[in-house]
Amino acid sequence: MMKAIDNSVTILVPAKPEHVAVLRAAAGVVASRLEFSLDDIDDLRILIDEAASVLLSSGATGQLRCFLLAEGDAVSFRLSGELPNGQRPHGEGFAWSILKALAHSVSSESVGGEQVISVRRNKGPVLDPTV
Amino acid sequence: MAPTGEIDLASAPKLREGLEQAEQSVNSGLVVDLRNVTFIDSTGIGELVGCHRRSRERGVPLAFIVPEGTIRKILSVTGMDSVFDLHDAEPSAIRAVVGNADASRSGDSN
Repeated sequence: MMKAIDNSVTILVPAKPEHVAVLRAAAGVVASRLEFSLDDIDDLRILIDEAASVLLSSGATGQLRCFLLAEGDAVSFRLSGELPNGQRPHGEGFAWSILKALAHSVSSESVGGEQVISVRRNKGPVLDPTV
Repeated sequence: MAPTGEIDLASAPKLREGLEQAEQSVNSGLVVDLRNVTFIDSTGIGELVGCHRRSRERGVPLAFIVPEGTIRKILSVTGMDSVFDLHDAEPSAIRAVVGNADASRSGDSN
């Protein structure tokens, strides 16, 4: 199911690996609307994929809900899913390394029994905080 | 061994199967060609790490063909560019594997 309001899109997909490609495609479309470069679009597709991978590999069940917002020079998304017994998503590994490296901001929180990963990606590369 | 397309949580098991088959069919060295991979995520990187570990355990040289671009960037972000033997093109990847296999046989690698 996909619902678009102005510059935002909400997508519900089954919490299954084969549906992550739908989220990547939607993120790509939203980013291209803001005239993101191909590199930035690639980054956004990877970011949404990794957020979904974190939730799915943590055992998300039911559906994943993704709210994508294009605003100014940034695309933000909030991806939420229900984990068994209200557990927290895995907080380490390659997926988080990629999320932290390619997003301008990334956070994870628990909201009403769901785990939510929020990511913002601006146009242009992410500056290395160690430089 | 040349996977194609997008490697994500859904397709990673197929990649692992292909890698394991390739690993079992060679003793002298393995080149994994990622030039036709258009997308890879942490799950796919994890499978490549598994292949790297198994190859080291068996003493089989392993090289990857990964030109500059998205795939190389993800390997860099995860730090795997300094772990894997990466090459831009086929000839140098094959040379690396053959050279390492020769070195292993003659005991030079010890």
